[in-house]
Amino acid sequence: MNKILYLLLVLCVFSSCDQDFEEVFDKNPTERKNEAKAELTNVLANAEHGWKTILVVGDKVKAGDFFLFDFVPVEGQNNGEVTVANPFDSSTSEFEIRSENGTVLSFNSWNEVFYWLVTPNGWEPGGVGSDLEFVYVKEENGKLFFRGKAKDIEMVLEPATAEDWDTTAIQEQFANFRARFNTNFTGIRLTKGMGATEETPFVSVFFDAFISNSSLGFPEKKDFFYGIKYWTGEKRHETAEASFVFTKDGIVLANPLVIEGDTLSKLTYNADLDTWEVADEGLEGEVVSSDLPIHSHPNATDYLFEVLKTTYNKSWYFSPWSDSWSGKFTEILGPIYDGPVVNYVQLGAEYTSPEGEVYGPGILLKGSVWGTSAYLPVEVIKNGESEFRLEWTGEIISDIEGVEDFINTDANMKQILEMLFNETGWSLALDIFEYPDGSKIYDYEMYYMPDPSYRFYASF
Amino acid sequence: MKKIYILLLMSTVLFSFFSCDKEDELSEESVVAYDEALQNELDVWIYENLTKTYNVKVKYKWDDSEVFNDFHVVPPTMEKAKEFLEAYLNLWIKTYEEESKVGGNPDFMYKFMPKLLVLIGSPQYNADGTTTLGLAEGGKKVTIFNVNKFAEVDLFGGETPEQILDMKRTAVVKSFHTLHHEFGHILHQTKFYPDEFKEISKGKYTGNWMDINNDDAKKHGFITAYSMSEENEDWVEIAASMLSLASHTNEPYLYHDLAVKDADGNLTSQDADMYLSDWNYELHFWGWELDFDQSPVRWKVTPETLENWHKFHTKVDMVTTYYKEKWGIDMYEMQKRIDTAVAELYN
Repeated sequence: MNKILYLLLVLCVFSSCDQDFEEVFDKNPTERKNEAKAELTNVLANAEHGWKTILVVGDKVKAGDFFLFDFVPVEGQNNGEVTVANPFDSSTSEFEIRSENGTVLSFNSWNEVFYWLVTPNGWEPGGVGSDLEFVYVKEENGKLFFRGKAKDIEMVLEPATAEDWDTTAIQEQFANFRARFNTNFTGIRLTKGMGATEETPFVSVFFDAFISNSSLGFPEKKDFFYGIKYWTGEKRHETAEASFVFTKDGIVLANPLVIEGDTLSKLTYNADLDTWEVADEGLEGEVVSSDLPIHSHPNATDYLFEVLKTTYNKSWYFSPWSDSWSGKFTEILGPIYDGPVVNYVQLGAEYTSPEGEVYGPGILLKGSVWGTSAYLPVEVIKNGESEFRLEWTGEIISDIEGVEDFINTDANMKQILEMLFNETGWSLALDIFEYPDGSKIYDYEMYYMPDPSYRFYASF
Repeated sequence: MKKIYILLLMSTVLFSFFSCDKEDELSEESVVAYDEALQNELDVWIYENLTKTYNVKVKYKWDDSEVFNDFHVVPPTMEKAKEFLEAYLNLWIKTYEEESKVGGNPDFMYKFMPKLLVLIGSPQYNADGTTTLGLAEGGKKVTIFNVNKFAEVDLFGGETPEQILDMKRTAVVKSFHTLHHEFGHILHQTKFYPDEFKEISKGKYTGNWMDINNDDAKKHGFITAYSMSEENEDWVEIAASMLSLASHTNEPYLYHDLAVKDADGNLTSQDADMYLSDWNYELHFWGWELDFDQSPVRWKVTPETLENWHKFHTKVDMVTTYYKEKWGIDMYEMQKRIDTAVAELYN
C-alpha cells in the first residue's frame, strides 16, 4: 500500500502543464488544406493558354494521347469546367480540386476526349490504364506533376502556348501519315542504328492492332493504334499494341522499339521530301510503304517449297472463293473452277504421277472428274530470299481429258498461267509463328509483282 | 497515519483531474470551406423532377465512395444520363406510383423507392467474366451500370423508321430490367414472399448459373439463367422480366404461322397467326426445341419442360399475387402502364 502511495506522489510531482510547444505551422490543417486546394486551382486556371501533356498509359496495351487543358473554375471555388482537347476533338466537362490524402484533381464528369484512356471495355476490363483522379505531387520548373489516384501513372502538365491550340497542322500530318497505310505494307526502314547499315537495312513492319479492330476494344481509334513486327535473323518478334500519339513535333510511338540499346520512339515529317523520318538520336531511317513486301524474310522461298511437301497434297491450293485468301485472283479462278475441265489450280512442291514417277515443283491442276489431274513441271528461279519466278520446263503430265485445249483456249486459264509464269516473278511475305511445343505455323502471302493487288494467302 | 494516507490519496486523485486548460478563442469564421456543387441543366432537372418531388438524390458525377474500389468504372455521359433519367421518371417511378395509388397504396413509392440512385457509365466487369449491371444496397441505394449503352439498338440495315422506333421502345423497356430487379429485392426484404415459393424449384438452383444459357434455364422452369442462382434472384427475376417484357401489351404484335398450343401447353401440328405481347410471346415459345424425329422437322416441348413450364406458371402466380396483395401493384396493369409510358416518351 505504501509503495502505491509513494508512486502516486511521484507521479504528481512529474505532472506538469507544459504549454510551451512550438507551432510548426502557422495555420491549422483545415486552413492549410484549403490553401493547397486554392493554390492548385489558381495555378491551373491562371496559365494563360492552359496546359498540355502527352499521356501514355497501359501495360498490356500502350495507349496515349496529346492533351490540352483549359481550366475555368467558378469564382472563389475549387471546381469548374475544363476543356480537354486532343489534336482532333475537344470536350468540356467538370473538374474539382479536393483534399484527400493529398490535393486531388478530379475530372469528375464524362469527358469525351479525356475518358477514352480511362473507360473500361470488354478487352480491357480495368480500362486501358489512365485515371480520372490525380494526386498533385509537385511543381518543378513550371511543370505540374500528378500521380494517378487509382492507377500508378504519372501525368506531367506543362504550360501550353497559343499555337498549341491550333492543331490544323497536326490534322494535316495525320492525314498524310495515314495515307501511307493505304498500301499492303507499311513499316520503318532504318539505315543507321539497331545494327542497320545502308547495305543491310533494318526493316520493321506495322500491323493492325487487334484492340482497335475488336468491337470490344477501341474500333473508333482504328487509325491510332499499331503493332510492330520485326525480325532478328529468322526470329520473328512482335511489340505490344500501342498508339501513335500525334503532336506538333511529330508522332510519338507510345511503345518505343528498343533494340541493341537503340530506341525508336519518334517520327517527324520532312515536308521537303514528303517523308516521315526517324527523329531519335543515333538512328537514321524513314517510314516506307509498298504494295509489295518490304521485309525480305531469309529463306522464304526455300521454306515455302519445303513446307508444301509436308501438306496433304504437297501443294498450295489457290482458293477461288475468298478475297482474303486470293485477292483479285478470285475473279479469274472462279470461272475456271465452275467450268467443266479443271476444278483446282495449285502450286505444287512435288508430284507423283499415276505411274509412280516423282516430279519436283510444278503447277497442279485437279480435274473436274474426280481423281484426274495434270501437272506442269516448273523450275523455281530465286530472285532473292523472298522473291522467285516460275519457268515451265516440260511436258504436261495429265490424265484430264482435253486439258491441253483448255489451257490454250480458256481465257481465264491462259491468264492465270501467264501470271504464274510471268518474268518479273512473285514476292513472298512470311511470318513464322513458333509454339512452345516446337511446332511452327508458316503464314505466307504471295504477291504477283507486276500487280500486287493480285495475291494469295495461306497458312501451313 | 491512515488519515494522512487518505488525504494524500484524495489530493492525488484531485490533482489528476487538473487539465492544461488553454482558453484559445474560437475563430468567428469557420475554417471549413465547402465548394458549392456545379449546377448544370441536368442538375437542375434532377432537382426539379426527382429530388424535390420524390426525395431522390441522383449521383452521376464521379464519387469514388459510391463504387467498389476493386473495379474500374467511369461516370456516364451527360446525354445518356439525361435519357436514362427521363425514362426512369416516366417508365419506372410514375408507373409504379400510379398503379400503387389505384391499388390503394398511395405512399408506396415515397416510402420504398431507393432514395439514392448512382449512375455509372460503364459495366462493372467481374473476374469471372460476367458484368454487373445493377446493385441494391440496404433498400436505400441503387447503382445502375452501363448507362452509356442505355437503350441501344443494333440495326442491321433496311429497317423502316417505325421498326426502329419499335426496337428503341422495346430496348428502353428492357433496360429497366435491372432497376425492377433491384427494387424487387427491396420489396421482398421488406415484406417476405411465401416460403412455398422456395420449394417449387428446389434442387435446381446452382452457383454455376453463368454456364447455363437462358433457353436451357427455361427448360428447367426459370425465366433467365440468373434466376437459377438462388430463390431470391428467381423471385425478382420473374417480377423484373414481367415488367421488362411489357412492349406490345396494349396493342399486341401480329406474328404469322406460329405453332398452336393445346390447353395443356402441348404444341399441336397446327399453325396460326397470333397477336402477342412481348410477355405472351415469351410464354408461348417457352422451352421449344427442334424435333428432328418429325419430318419435316418441327418444334416440340418435352414432357419435362412442360412440367417445369407449369411450375413456372405457379411461380408467376405467386409473384403477381404477392405484388397485388402486399403492395397493391397489379403486374399486368403495370405492363400496360409501362407500354403506354414508353410510347408517349418515344414517339
